[in-house]
Amino acid sequence: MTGKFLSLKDDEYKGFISRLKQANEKLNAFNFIDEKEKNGKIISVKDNICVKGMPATASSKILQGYTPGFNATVIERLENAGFSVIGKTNMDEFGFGSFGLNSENLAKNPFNEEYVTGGSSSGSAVATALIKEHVSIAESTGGSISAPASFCGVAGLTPTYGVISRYGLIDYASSLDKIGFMGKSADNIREVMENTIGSDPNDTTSLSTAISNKKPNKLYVIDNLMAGINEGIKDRFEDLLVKLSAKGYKIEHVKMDYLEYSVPAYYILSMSEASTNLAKYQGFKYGFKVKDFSLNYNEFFMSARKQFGKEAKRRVILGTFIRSKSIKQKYYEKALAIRHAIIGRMDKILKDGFIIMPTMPIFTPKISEVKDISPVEAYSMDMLTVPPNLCGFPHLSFPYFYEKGMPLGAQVITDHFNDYSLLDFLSEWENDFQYKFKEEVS
Amino acid sequence: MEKDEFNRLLKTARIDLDEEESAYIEKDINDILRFFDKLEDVSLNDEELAFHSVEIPEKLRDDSNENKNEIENVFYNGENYRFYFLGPKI
Amino acid sequence: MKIGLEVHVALPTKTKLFCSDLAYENQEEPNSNVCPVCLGLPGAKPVLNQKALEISTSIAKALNCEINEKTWFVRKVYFYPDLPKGYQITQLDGAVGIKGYVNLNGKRIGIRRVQIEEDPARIIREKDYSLIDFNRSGVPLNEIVTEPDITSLDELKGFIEELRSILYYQGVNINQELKTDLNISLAEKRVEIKNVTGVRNLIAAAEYEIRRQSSLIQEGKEINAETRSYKEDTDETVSSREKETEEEYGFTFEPDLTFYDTTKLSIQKAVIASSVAKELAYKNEYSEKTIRELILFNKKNLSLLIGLSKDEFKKGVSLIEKLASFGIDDYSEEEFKKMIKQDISSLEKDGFLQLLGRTSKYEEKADEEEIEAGIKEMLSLDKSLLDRGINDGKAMGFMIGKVKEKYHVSGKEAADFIKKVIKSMLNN
Repeated sequence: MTGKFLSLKDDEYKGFISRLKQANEKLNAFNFIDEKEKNGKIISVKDNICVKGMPATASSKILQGYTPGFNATVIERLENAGFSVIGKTNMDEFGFGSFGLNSENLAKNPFNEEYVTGGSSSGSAVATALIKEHVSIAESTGGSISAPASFCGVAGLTPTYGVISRYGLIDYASSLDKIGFMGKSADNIREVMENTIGSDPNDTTSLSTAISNKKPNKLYVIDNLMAGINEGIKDRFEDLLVKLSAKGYKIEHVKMDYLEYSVPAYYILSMSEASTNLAKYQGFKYGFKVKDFSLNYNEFFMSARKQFGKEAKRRVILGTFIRSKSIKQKYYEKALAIRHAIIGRMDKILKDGFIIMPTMPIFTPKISEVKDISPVEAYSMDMLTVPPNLCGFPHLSFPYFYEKGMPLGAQVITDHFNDYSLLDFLSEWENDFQYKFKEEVS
Repeated sequence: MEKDEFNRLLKTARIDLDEEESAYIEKDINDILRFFDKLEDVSLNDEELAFHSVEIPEKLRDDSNENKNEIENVFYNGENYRFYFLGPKI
Repeated sequence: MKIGLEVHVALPTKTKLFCSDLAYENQEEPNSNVCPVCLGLPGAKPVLNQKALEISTSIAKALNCEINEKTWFVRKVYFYPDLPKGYQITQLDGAVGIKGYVNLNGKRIGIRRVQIEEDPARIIREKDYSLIDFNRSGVPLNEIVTEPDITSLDELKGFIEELRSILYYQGVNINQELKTDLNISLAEKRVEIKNVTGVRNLIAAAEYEIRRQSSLIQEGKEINAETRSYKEDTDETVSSREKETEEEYGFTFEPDLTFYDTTKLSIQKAVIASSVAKELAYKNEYSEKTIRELILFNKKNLSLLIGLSKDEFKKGVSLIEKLASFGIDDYSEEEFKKMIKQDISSLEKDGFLQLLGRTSKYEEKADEEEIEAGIKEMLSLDKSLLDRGINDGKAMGFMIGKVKEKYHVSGKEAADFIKKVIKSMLNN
């Protein structure tokens, strides 16, 4: 099956761009919209993926003004396959956030602007909801595709770690970062994915492993993971399970050890990697510039790095602490062991079934409700999206219900390299499910 | 984490905080570390360490410059002088 | 007295360690040999050069190291404008080689580690800013870390010569200036001298530091554990501000790379020329010192000499020496074998040239114009000579030697001429 994408004739282009800009003024889906006419199939790209000639800021002030002189491998491949990038989507700075709040221009939920979009691929989710027949190239480190997909009512696929090249992706945590896709049609996502997978000579961690589509008829629910979630969510999820079992899926309940440690383990690993990946931002080769070269280099760097937002600062400081020699074992190595333990346990049941769960433990919150919550409270909201991300398992968030007009998502997880089974699942789901959106730009 | 330790970290990470930021970030960091300390409950001494979540086979590059990584206009984003990048004083 | 070294040496690869740019500094302008990877641009990723891994493993083997079957990399985080990513990709526990040694007259100098790492960029200090050339960024290096087993200045000299010879036989360009960190302790406290360039400076730094520490001990004063740096112009070491401590580097696994299998690589055989010299001297009852001089840094001489019978040996040595004194070096092994069968005792340069059927190249003496152009080229190639102040007379000797060698000129007259040309260029 091939997808169906918005492509524009020359005379339609200007009108489309002006309608998109108008919608963007209200929703902040894009950090940058390219006005140059394009005749390919329209996609958008998260602002931490380099597109030659377009600004790349990862929503960070420290990258303000940076325009990469090279394409990410995904972009190179998609442009060769007839896709055109319309613009760069908003996000939490460097991917640091679960709600989309860590960005100068806050992205707004397309269903209701008082609500959060989810993060960190906030703009990709909004753009996908907003633009007709759209796919956005997003990225997930710990849940950055699933969370906004769920809150914005679109499908979000996070592939197996290494299946999509990271060359040209501005790093958050290299052992966890995965480029993925948001869309509102399984066929569309499949077409984009098929054109991007495969080993890349420029990324050591990109893999050539064939991607399978073995679709099981068993769905595992991990009971101990369901413990901490909102009762209303639980009820809707029960309804979903009933629907799926009517479709012939066998539901099985299991318990799994170590999952309660996955969130701290994830933050330990991602912060320590992030604190090294962010060491390159020094204020003179690209992005934000410190004007005064006569400052001693240490003061110069400190002055540049004031541009980091507060979450970036927190993570760089904590990551630096976690890496220090004397305590590395206590946190960093323990976290690596936990990752290994959880992979082993999930792997076992994923051999003959999907794991299914709600995507987020809460209903879409209002911006005002989460704006001031503490970091630990915010991190804890990732309890459901972190396990597959920590362990590199491919997963899909799909919309399944509208609660008072706001969408709700659930998440299915499958075994490494069985990514296409998730798209088969989504195709099947789309047979009886109708995506709803408030408005669509075309 | 003690105040001294926190200040040493700021220096190591080249992060300069104003007083207000410093106060809440220090508090946040101590909260987060307490959250991380949860790991102390678990002993996984014999567990392997997963540096990646899937096996990454080795990928080596031939010692050839035929397929060079491309970049357009090296100095487009930085200040330069006689083909050198300008950098801070050392 | 305990001396330990960290010696940095560039590997003989065509391209850089993690990207396809050329690894040697060429004549092109600064930043002409760069890409997103070695500029450290956001989004770029490293991919390891197979040749660099092979050479490093060969070097580690030649230094009698245990080879890590799976070798891996770490990020060493520190901040300096020449370090584009804010971390250097290097090795620690996963280094290619660990626990090796070099044999020095029957004594073993321990090699703690042979590790692969990337060179930072070249940085030039100016009054109110710095200038950075990333052509050097990402050039593959080996850092060879010794145990503190060296116990005298003579041993230090001997070790460096032995190490250089071993590296030479692994294909390393031995004319490069070694960059060394040196730690010396005469008492309990360890003093580290960072970034000493060249062998001459290494010895001078060690000499100064030994004198300094001895006199402190004699005066009953305390020696501080500290980092010092060597000042080439005064031959002194001076206390320097500590950059980072081990704790602060925050070494961590390099997640953009993976584990590499060292068991399937093509490894070059080790040649220990000093041992060969010893054997040849014993077998042929000949001066070991002379043989060492001929073969420590000369593959061709080594292969010529080991091919000789005891009867031919003496004649062979004098033939090699004679040809060298005439500046004749382009003869083949067969030609050498032919010559040795003939009566050559009375031949002078022209006679040898006739015998070898060579004429043109050696007849034309390089004229002054050519030499001048050559010097200009050499200075533009290696700008660090200018940076380090060639004017002071030390680097000058080195340059004069190089020019003389290249143009087959000799004598004081030639030296004066070369000096004059260099000085005039420096004043421009």
